[in-house]
Order: sequence, then C-alpha cells, then structure tokens
Amino acid sequence: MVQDVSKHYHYMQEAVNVAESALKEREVPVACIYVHPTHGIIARAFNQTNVTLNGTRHAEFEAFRQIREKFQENWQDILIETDLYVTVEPCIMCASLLRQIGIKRVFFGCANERFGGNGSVINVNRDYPRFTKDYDKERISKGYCVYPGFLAKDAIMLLRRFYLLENEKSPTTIGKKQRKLEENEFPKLNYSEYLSVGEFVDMFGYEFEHVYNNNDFLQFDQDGQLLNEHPTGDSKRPKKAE
Amino acid sequence: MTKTRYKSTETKRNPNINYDKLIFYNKFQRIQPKESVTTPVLKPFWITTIEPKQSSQVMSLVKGEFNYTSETLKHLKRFQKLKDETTNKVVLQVVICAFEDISYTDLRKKLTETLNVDLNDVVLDKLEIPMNKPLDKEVNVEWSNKYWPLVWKGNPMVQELHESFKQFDNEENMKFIKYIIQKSREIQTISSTSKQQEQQQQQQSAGLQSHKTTFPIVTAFIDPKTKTIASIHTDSRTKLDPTAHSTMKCIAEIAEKELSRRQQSGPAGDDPATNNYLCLNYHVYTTHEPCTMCAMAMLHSRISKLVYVRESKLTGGIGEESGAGYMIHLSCQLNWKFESFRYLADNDEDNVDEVDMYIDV
Ligand SMILES: [Zn+2]
Ligand SMILES: [Zn+2]
Repeated sequence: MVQDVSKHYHYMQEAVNVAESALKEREVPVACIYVHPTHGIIARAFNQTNVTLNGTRHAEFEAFRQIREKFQENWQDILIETDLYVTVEPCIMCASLLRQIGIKRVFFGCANERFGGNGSVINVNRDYPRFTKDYDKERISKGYCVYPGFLAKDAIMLLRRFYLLENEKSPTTIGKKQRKLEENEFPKLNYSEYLSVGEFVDMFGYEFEHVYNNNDFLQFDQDGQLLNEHPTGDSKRPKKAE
Repeated sequence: MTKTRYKSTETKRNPNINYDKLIFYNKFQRIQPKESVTTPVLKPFWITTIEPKQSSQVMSLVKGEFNYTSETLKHLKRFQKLKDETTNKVVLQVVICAFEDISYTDLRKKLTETLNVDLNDVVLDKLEIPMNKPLDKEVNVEWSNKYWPLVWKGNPMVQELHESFKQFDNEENMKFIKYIIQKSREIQTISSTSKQQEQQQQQQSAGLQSHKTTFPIVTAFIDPKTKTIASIHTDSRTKLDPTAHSTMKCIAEIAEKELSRRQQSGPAGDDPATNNYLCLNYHVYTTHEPCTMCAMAMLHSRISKLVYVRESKLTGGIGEESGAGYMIHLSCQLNWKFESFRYLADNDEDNVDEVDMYIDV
C-alpha cells in the first residue's frame, strides 16, 4: 500500500519552520521533529552547536533529550513507533545514535555531502558487522529506512541564508560567486545511495518510479501531493495493480 | 589479498617502526587501510610499435587526441624501448589508450595518417597493463618486467608512516594509556564488589531490578597546549540516558568549561584569537574502541589523535576490521581526519577487561 505522502510533507514543513527559528538565534539552521502515531509531535529542536560550543549538540540529540524528559524510562517503547523528520540528512554520529535508540524511520530534506551517515558517506542505518561472522544478529541494533528529498531545496536555502549572514559579518568574503550559486543551482540527490527502488515505490507509488530512476527532485503541490510528471508525458497512466 | 609488506628498499629505515605491521615502539599499531599490493588490476590497452624517429609524431597524436589518458596512466612510462629480434634494431612501444576507447580499424587509420605510412606498416597490439600502483619497489620491478614499465617515486605509505611517527610522543602516550588502564582496573574492582552486594540484595528481595550498569570504560581528553587532562570520564549510561558514553561526556565537559570561562572573563575573555575551538587537536586516550557515534563525535570535535586499548569487533568505528569497517577517523578526509592507534597490551596486567561485545562503547 502506498503511504500518505502528504502527511510526511506537512511534517517536514514543520521541521523547516523550526530551522527557520534557528536562523534568528544565529544557529546553523538544521532542525528536526520526532513524530509518534498517537502522541503526534513529541519533540522539536534545532542545532545548538554554536551556543553551547559543543560540536556534537545536533538537533537529533537535543530533541531526543526532550523525549527522555517527557517519557522517562518509557522512551524506548515510544521511539520504536516514532519517525524522525530532519531538514538535512543525519550525520554519521546522529545516524548511529538513531540506530542505537531504535528509531522507526527517518525522513530528510537535503543530503549531507560532508558527513552524511544515511548514504552520502556511509550507510550507518543499514550496515552490519562485516568481518566478525560469529554473532547473534538479533542483538545488533536493528537498522532503519530513510526517505530523502522532502523539501530538499528549502533545507538548502536555509543553509545558504545562514552562511550569507555569517559572511556579512566578516566583510572579506562577499563574493558574486556565492550570490550566483543561490539562484537556481541545487545538487541532485542520487536516490540509490539512500534507499532501494522497492523502498521508494512502496512510499511514493509505482507511477513515481521514474523520479527515482532520473534522480529528480520531489515536487509537491500545496496539499503535499506529489506532482512529478512522467518524462514522456503520460503521468496519468494507470497505477499498477497492487 | 595479501597484507602490505614494507620490506622494500626505502633508504631511511626507522628502528622504532615495524613497517610490516604498522607498529610504533612495539606498542602502538597505527590504524590505516592495508591495501593489497601484490595483485595487479589489469586492463587492456592499445600498444603501437614504432621506430625511434617517429616518436614525436606519435606523441603529438597522444597529446592531441588521447590527452585524457595522462591522468590514469601517470604511474606508467609512456614509451618502452625494445630490440627487434630479427633486424636487431631498437624499436619503441607506445601506450595509446584503453582498448575499449577505440576500434582497431579507427586507431590504425589514425596512426597511418599520423605517421604517414602504409596501412600494413602500422603495428598495433593489445596488452594488459596494471592500473594499480605497487607500494613496494620489488613488486614495482616485477610488474615492470612482466607487464609494462612503471614509474617509482618511493613508497607513499612509508612516507606517511614517517610523517605520523614524527608527531608521535611515546612518553606522553605511555603515560596516559597507563593512567586510564589503571583507572579502568579500579572500576572493575569497585563493580565486582558492588555486584556481590547487589546479588545479596537481590536474593533478599527477588524481582527488584537495578538498571545501573558499570562498564570499565575510561576516556581522557588531553589538551595539546598544556599536555594535561582536560576531561576524564567513565561510562555512565542508564536506561534513562543511553547516550552517556565516556567520550560524549568528555566533549560536553570541555565545552561547558570553555563556555563558563568566556562568560566569567567578560568581553575580554571572548577573543577569537585566544578562544578554544571545540577539542581542536586534542589527544584522546580510551580503554575501549569507541562506537561509530563517539568516533564521529571526536571527528566533529576536531581531535588530532586517538589511542585505544581493547578492540570492539562488532560495534567499533575505528579498526579496519571492526564493525562494518568504517575507519571513521579517515572517512571524511576532505573535512577532517585524525590519527588512530591501538595500544598492544603485553599481558592481562597491562590490559583492561572486556565488555559485552554487543554494546556500543
Ligand atoms: Zn548529527
Ligand atoms: Zn559510544
């Protein structure tokens, strides 16, 4: 069954809003929300690395702390059903945290080319020990699926606005090059680094398999419905029987 | 796959380095990829045979139409001198391009035009050439004789080892590693006594479960400027806080200290020139190989060196054969990397206790 994609779109919109508030506090605008099926949004946070001088205080950690405060020792039962929506692909550190604490799924906006732990650099969410064969797989933290590309351009624009603001303070580097970059250049996501085509069509439906194959950006309407048309124009071809 | 052997003819050999096993002072093994060097990765290329006087014409063709090959073939010599058995004349063989790049007919036609000779006078062969670069001079000679002459500019890995050794202060390493081993052994004694007490208590009130866990894991962060311990912590994870790994606690403490230093010293104390930035160039000593999360936390904090004692074969993020083989310290090289060593304990007294292999250290 195809998922309700618009729900994920709206939650990512909320994560983007949280990132927006980070800009006002001169923090790196990366933000996340944790969503539980019955409790709804159980935590929201943005990066705290600048204000704390601690390079590990990423949004995922901050929000996880809120969940532990809220649910105390029951956090584990909550998290097993909880999805994370984060504007930028979790870094290797956070990707490992999320696996250790047993998150259900991760939705993210843009790729984290430098430090990404869900596919850009390595796949912490799905790898298993490679050299030691004699172990009980059940006792290794279970992996999780990731879904990239929700509001990817918004996530990138937030980061660009942040670096522009920072650069304005140090007058040395206001370059035309950076301004130019702002206009319409966004790096494409290579979906196969993050998830399989099967996982993609399970989420978005067979009629959008071409998005995966062509590494197109996900395009949504205001209600969060996916708009991407098939390159041959027959976007309205019938869905395959499920 | 055979492991790297650095027995080659490098000029300056350092007696305190075991080049074969990558060990400094018999005690510290550098964690770096052991690349295969004895198996060539072969790829077919087009080779033409010419007279020496035709070499400039061929070079103009190579530089013009096949210039793109210069990067991939820079470990090779472009020409090879041979003696024609029948005529006893010196001839040259030249690598043109990959076999898959052009058809026999097309390349022969190009060479006919370039050399201004008859079609039948063009000699064109297909030859398998190694695409990887040996790290060992002897292997370099062997491959050069067998396949095609390879360039030798010294072993790049040996140069890297020497560079790393220069930064390596053995005394400091021994001092701090001994210290954390001792601290870890103290925890072991405490926890074994408290375990006995716990068991007694449990016998008294069966069913009462304690979530408290004590692992003999100790981590110390050394400030490079003062060469003193900036922060030292043990593991204190609980069911309520599973993130209290020793590394994360050290990083948090160092940040808190710097923050309060800046706040207390007022505007004058917050000077970009003298402020501490994260854990820049700190040296980290830890009893157990850190998990992927902690290893990456160290990278985010810009440490320059990590030394650990016991391997975490399933969950470790550093060792070449730990976990999924990430070698986190080298995984984001364009942004930051740090040196990593494993301390090779002589015996049990010199070692720390194992922890459950499934826990993320
Ligand atoms: Zn992170
Ligand atoms: Zn850890």
